[in-house]
Amino acid sequence: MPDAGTLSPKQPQTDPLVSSNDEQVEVHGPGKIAWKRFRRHRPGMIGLGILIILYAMAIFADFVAPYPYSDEERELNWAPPSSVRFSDANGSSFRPFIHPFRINIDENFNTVLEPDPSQRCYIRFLVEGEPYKLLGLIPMHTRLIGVDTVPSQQGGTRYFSRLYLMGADGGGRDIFSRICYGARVSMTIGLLGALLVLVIGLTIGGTSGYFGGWIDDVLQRLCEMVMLLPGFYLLLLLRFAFPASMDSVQVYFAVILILSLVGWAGFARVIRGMVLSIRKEDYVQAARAVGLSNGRIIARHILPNTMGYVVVATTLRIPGYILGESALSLLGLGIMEPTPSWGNMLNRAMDILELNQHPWVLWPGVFIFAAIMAFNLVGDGLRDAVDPRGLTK
Amino acid sequence: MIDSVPTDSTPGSLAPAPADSLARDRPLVQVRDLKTHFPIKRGVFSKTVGYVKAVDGVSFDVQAGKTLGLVGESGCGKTTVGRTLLRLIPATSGSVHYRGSDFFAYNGQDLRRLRQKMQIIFQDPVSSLNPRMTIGNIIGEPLQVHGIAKGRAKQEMVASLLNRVGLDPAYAVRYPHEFSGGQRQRIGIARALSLSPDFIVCDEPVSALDVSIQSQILNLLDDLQKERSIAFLFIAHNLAVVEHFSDDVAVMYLGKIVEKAGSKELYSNPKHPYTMALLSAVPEPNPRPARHRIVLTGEVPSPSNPPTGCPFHPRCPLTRQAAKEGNAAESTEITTGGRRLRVLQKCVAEVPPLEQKQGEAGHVAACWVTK
Amino acid sequence: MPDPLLAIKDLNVAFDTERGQIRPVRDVSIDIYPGQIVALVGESGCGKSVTALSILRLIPQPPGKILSGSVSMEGRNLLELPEKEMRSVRGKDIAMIFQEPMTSLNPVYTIGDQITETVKLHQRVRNTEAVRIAEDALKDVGIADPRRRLNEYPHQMSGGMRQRVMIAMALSCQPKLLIADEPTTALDVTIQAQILELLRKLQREKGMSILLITHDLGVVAENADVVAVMYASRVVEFAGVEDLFDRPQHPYTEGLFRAVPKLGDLRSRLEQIPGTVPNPARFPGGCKFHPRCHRSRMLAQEARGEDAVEITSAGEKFRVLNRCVKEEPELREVEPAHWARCHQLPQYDRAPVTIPKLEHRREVNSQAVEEGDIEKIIKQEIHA
Repeated sequence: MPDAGTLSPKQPQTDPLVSSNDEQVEVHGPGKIAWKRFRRHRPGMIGLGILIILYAMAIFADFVAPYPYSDEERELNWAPPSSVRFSDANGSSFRPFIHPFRINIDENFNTVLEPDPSQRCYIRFLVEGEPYKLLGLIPMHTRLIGVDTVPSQQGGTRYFSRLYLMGADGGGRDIFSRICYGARVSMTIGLLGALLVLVIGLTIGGTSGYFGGWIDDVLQRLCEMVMLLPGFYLLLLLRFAFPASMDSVQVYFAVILILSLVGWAGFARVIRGMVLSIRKEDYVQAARAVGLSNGRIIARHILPNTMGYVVVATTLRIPGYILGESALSLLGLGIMEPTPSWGNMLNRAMDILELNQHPWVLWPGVFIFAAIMAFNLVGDGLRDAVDPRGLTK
Repeated sequence: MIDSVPTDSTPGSLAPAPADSLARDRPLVQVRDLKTHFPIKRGVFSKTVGYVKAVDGVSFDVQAGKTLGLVGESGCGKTTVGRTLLRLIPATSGSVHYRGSDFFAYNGQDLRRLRQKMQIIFQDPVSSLNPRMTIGNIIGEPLQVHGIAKGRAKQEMVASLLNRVGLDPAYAVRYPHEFSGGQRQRIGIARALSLSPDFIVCDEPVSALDVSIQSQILNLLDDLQKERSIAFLFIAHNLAVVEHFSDDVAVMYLGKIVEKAGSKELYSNPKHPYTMALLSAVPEPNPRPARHRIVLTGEVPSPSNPPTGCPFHPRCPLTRQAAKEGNAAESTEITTGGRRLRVLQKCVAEVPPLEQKQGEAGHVAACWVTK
Repeated sequence: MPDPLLAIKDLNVAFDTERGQIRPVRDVSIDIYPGQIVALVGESGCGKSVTALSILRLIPQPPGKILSGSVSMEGRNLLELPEKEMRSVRGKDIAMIFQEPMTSLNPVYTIGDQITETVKLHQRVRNTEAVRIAEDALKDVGIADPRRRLNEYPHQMSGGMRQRVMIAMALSCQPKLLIADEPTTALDVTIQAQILELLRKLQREKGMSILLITHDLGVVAENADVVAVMYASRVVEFAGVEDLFDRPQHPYTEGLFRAVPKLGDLRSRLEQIPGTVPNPARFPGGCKFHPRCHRSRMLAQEARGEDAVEITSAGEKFRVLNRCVKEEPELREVEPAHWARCHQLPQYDRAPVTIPKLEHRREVNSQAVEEGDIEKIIKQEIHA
């Protein structure tokens, strides 16, 4: 065993290795360097900002959304977006307000929904609303935004004071509120799906690449089989493997499982390729030479060096899973009503007539677009940031 | 120091050393008829169509505390020898004995324990350190895994190792990319030293370094050898460096050792024409070169399809000379690289054995022409 | 004295990096005369390759930029030529070969395609004539069966063969100057000997000049007429090859010579230059070599208190001369036809600052034997 005698730290050294100008600099780990580079990538930072907003919206949906997602007002079906005003015929106001809705019966006995310009309902912030539990723990009833109420019956006409920032759906539910709650499904399903793919891909790709031989052959043929099937068919196929009627929590996890079963193969293949090349690096040989076990070599020396790629690939894969969930939900095979997801909210937009009359049902699509773009921007930024060629500079 | 090292030749048994006197006479590392053949695979079903004979029957001894130099050009198999004998590449056949026990017979935990005593230093200072680990972890990991030191004790040992290789112990928290090539090579040396090995394979340890740094590393290795009596297998392509650093030198060509002798003897009295050409090809830092340059014609043949007989015969000036002077019946005509040459029949037909030549005892060479 | 073929004067190059601007080439002046082999020696990051690339204006701009200086060839300043004219200089007047023959050839074209393309770019010739020129060029560089080789792809050739092809391509338009950037570093010694022999032969036959960039002192000693030693972006010593090896003036050159193991000196301890090759982003002040300089350290031991100053380098404290830390030396002609950048040379203070110009040719050319009694030759000459 190394004898302390020859390894005495007191031993004087005569070998200056750093010239006098080499001031003590702070330690730059690979992660820190990547973050410094990422911060200089403007589109990436914009994407990151969008993602932070979207995730904050999902986590604090109860607080941000004016109404609970299932809060209906059937009479206000397809109500258009409320126009927020600062002035009307009665003069202007510093505080934003809306006109309450009024329901009239016209000469053909159709109900007509229109704003009543003679009344004002002021928009208020941090108002009392339906009770909820913040983060599922803290009971609260303050909501970010709300609107004054008006008496609902005024001389035979019914009045409604509801804030529909992005209009209402066929059940009179506030689309903005449902988008906030839907973000919980859509923004996490992609993330969890990608993380599951990460675990499966790293395990299978890592094993396949490190051990090689027949293990590699078997696992690679399996990958090829999965990759041969067109993704969307596989998605549908796997969906039918699950019972048709499940509650929304079950469906949520089923969809995650389905997405990752479709996605792991391509990822595992790339990991395998990387492991094959990292395995030949001298530091892996050195690790074997000092007598480390295979498990430790894979976990400490090989997989961490795929991290750069893994982070980028995972970020760039999330949009695909968001779209996958949307597609399933759009077809009515994913998250079920009344639980909102961006995908199932778009379901109604499939009917061109409805779309024509109520174009605001497309709002969830705008959010899907924003989320996907944000993930792609962040992914591009990360790719530049973890580029190994930059690491040594 | 040797209490955990198997000295018994029975595989798997980690019994303490028998009589010390026995162990003292025999070489530390004994390599016999080592072969490493890589299959060449083609087609859909990965059919093996041939073999690259990277190492083809190599034998040598490394004495405790001494240096054996291994020289040769790229593709001659010298790196493969080093890696095969440490079992980083599986051997096709042959044996490696460490202190008399068969290294190839160990497995699992026993193998990992024995590996502590045989370490390696790599050529490329960039790829030999894991970019995701701090210097402290790179050097400390072997100590921890083998249960030698943990926590503070480990940190102290890392500090003293860094100190020994001439680096500031404060560097332990930094990452490899912050260091220059020479510093990285020192870190690699500290890692190899961490387990107190008595045999280190130095695989081209200075050829990727700047000239002014090479001598620092060579001197460091030299000091360590004297201090801890470590045996080196010093693999390099630069003859001047190998000759400077080694007690004995073996020259490899196409997977075989073609000449082996004491360092001084080999240099002053080369017996194999390839060694002569290598020696004369080293550019001399002297603007008025006194010696003539032997420029070999042709290129190193592919190890997947080596020439018959003496592997050097298509490039050998000696056999051409001998064919010219000798009896026409003993020579034959060959075509190589578009040129027709007359060489000795024997050089084409038979592989020359590695045999004692005129000169120092133990000076062996594989050549039909020289005496 | 005839006019130089190429005159680099006060060249300064900068690169913008993440950590600020670095200056890989500072105040470099080198003249190359017709038929001369000028060696540019130095370690990694000393600026020798950037100097070469700047001559051909091949440094990527941005991040690189040429701050000042001129590169004149036949009355034209190459740094000010329009890009179109510059393209005709590259390859035709000045050709370049690189260290890595693997990546310098395009893998998807045959050798023939690549050489004839270069030929047709600079000479008005028909296709058949271009093929003939290419074939001759391959023959010139000692490739057997050139007609067959023209139809081969780079991957079918060995490293030495590819480097020959690169040389053939570079010489196909009869350039006046060949820039060879570490032409043999990636090759084995026996192949290196072949390639250097070939370069010397072609240089003699065609009378061209070569700017040889290398870190190998042996290659310099055996091939160069004039040597410029670079350290930390500057030329620190400039002299004829015999002069430089006989009487090195700069402590860096001196240290390099002693640090290299030579054939024949056995297991003696090598002298070493302490410290690391400096990073261009963080050069020390004053003389760039002072943290590693044995001369300054030795003289500081005898110096009076105020003339020396203590510096710290990797935990080691030692004294060096104050002047070396404070003031950067100039490149001065410290001996006739010998320039060096060191204050501590006794002649330094009196020596004039002149532009290094040396129309010198080496005295002895190394000789190659291919056949013959090599056993005897080796015994004779290695012992000598």
